[in-house]
Order: sequence, then structure tokens, then C-alpha cells
Amino acid sequence: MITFPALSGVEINVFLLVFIGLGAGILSGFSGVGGSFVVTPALIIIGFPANYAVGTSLAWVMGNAIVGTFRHRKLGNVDMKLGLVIIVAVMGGVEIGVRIINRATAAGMANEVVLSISTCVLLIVGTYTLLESIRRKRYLDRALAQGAKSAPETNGTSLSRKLQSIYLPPRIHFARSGITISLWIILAAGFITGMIVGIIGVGGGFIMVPSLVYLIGLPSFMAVGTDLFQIIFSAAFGSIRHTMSGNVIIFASLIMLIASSVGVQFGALVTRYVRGVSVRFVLGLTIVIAAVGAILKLANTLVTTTTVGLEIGSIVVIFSGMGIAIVIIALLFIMALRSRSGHSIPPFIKAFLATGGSPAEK
Amino acid sequence: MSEKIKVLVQATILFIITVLLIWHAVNWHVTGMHLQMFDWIGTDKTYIAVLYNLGLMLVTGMALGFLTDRIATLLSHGKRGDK
Repeated sequence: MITFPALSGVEINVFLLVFIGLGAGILSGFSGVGGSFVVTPALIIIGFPANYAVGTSLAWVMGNAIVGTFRHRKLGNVDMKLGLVIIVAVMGGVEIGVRIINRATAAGMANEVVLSISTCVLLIVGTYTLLESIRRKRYLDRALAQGAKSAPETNGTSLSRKLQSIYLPPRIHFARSGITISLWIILAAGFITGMIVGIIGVGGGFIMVPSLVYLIGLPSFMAVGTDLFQIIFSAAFGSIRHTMSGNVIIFASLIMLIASSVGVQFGALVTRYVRGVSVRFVLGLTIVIAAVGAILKLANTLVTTTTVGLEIGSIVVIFSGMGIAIVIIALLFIMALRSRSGHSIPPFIKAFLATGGSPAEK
Repeated sequence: MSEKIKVLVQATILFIITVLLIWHAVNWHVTGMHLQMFDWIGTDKTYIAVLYNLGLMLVTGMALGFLTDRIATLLSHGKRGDK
């Protein structure tokens, strides 16, 4: 157990911090999320007060995103020009979000505000992402069953194609991602993400990655790497604001960072072996499970007497969600290696795996 | 110096830097320096706490990012049988 003098009376199990960091790192490296949509509620569950969980999580996100960006840049998954454009809007949103959470803290409602907003956003984004990935996988299953040797190419979703066609100057061309889109659409997506970042202390990846894929039309892997790049700056800005508000326990952030730097490498490595639909499936599933855990925790916060069942339930669900996602990522890796070495694999897995060298398609 | 040796030297230096950073953070946590900086927040020394937190995460993230990248390069060298 470890104590943090700034949190009097709170003892934290250091192995839980390491486990949280490692798991979040794997998720982060694989799906481009900062990881804090799992880390923030996990920190609250293991004993951090909500405002400290938010601030500490953001500081960790910044460091973890740096590690992840290094890896994904080497894989060719980072569009720095697009990332820099998004950052400007995200910063504005974060500032507004931090002011909101500080007001909620002063009113003694931080836990309720953070968990309520977390829950709603997680449910909406997670459900949409999960359903879309399942639809895409079924399409790929049919295509592969008909004897296609590789996945049919797609150029974004119908929504992203419509948004890209909107003529609202100035329009910017991003050569690395291969898209041309109005600046205002990118700024709107960035601002909303930033506000949620500031309020609930997440890096915004679980909102930004689906936004980049479904609204802007980036290939999934490019969305993962680009998102990690922009998260560095948004998390840094949020971390500065939260440090000024006294919400960051830096030693806890460092412990999680060391663990997550290992996890990120594995997560990023697996992306070389799978299709984009795998990333979206794992992302959607993880977000939905995290939402269920947040609902249980919120219910426990709102009832007048602490209910042991709800408390334990939220802990089990959130940590199980991370565990399930990590198991799926590991299984995909193992199946990909088996497939490439000529061994048989279950047919329903094939649509998740990339064929040959690098996974190019969505 | 061959490419592999160069990468090995870089990885070693980065590993030493990372260990020093960790030692520093543990030392300051145990001696109470982190708590002292935490108490500076809200005073005219707030900027020190902000710069320290930001700098620690930035430098540690970069050191770990470079280190893991060098290790991955070393492992891929070994796999290809490069000289």
C-alpha cells in the first residue's frame, strides 16, 4: 500500500495502480484512446476523490500519449497537420470544461457531475461504435465467404462523405490522411471533445477516434495515431489547469505511466495484424462496459446509503471491462500469428485480421 | 560503429535516464518534496508545481517513448539477423 500525503487518510494499493496503467496502456496503444475513460473511474473506485482522479488521470494521459505517438508515428499512423488543427479547438473546450468541474467541486457535486456526464457520453458513443463495427464485420464475413481475397475498400462512412462534401470555406486538404474537409467541422468536433475532456478528465480519445472515423472519414489506424498526437496537447493543457487547481497527484501518474509504456507497445504492435474494424469493435465494447460500471457507481453515489453490491458491482464491471478488452486484443494477436504461419483459425475471426503485411483498409 | 551497436548504446543511455527519473520521483515522494510543492499551489510559487508536473510527464514520456522504440528496433534487428 502507498499513501499520498496530499490525500490524507487514503491508502492506495500500488499494484492496482500498476494494473490500471498497464491495461490502459494496452487499450491506448491499440485503439487510440487516452485510456482515462477507464482510468478516471478506476481511480475513483480505488479511493481517489473525483477531482484528484480527473487531474491525476490527465497528467498520466499526457505522458502515455507521448509514448504512444512515438510508436504510431513509426507505423505511419500520425497526421500531424490534422492533429495540430484539432488541438486549437480542443484547448478552448478544455478550458470551459475545467471551469465547470471546479464549480461542481465547490458545490460538493463533483462525483455526481463527472459520473453522470461520463455515463451518458460513454453509452452513446460506445453503442454506436459497437453496432457499426458489428455491421462492418458481417459485411466482411459475407465478402470473404464469397471468396474475396482482401476486404473491399471503403472511403469513409456515408456521413463522413457527406460532411466532406459540404462547401464551407476554408477547406483544408490533409495529404497524409487523404481527405479534404471544412475547417469548421474539424473545429466543432475538437471543441466538443475538449469540453468533455475538461469536465470528466479523459483524454477525449474515446470521443475523438470515433469522430475522426465516422465524421471526418479517416482510416481507423490513422485516427488512432493522430488522436494520440493531439491528446498530448489537450491533456497537457488540462493537466496544467488541474495542477493549478491542486487536483494532480504526480507520483501516482508516474507509477501508471511506467506501467502503461509497456502496454502501449504491445497494443500498437497488434494493430499491424488486424483490420480497422477490430479497433472499433474493441473500442465500442470497452466503452459500453465502462458505461455500465459508471452507471452502477453513479447509482451508488445517488442512493442515500452506501450499497455494498453496487460498489462491488461497479469495481467488478470496470476492471472486467478492461480485462475483457485486453484478452480480446491478445487473442487477436495470437490468431493473427497462427493464420500467418498457416494454422487454421475460427472462421468468424478472419474478418478481424489483416491479410498479408499491413492493415490498410478500414 | 554498426547500426545495431548504435541502437544498443542509445537504448542503454535512455534506460539510465529513465532509472534516474524514477529514482528522483521516488526520492522526492519519500522526502516530502512533492507534498511541499503541492502546498505551493495557490501561492506565488504555483508556477513551480505546474512546470515540475508538466516537465516530469513530458521528459518521462519522451524517455520511455524513445527507450521502447529503441528496444523494438533492437528486437527487429535480431529477428532479421542484421549485422
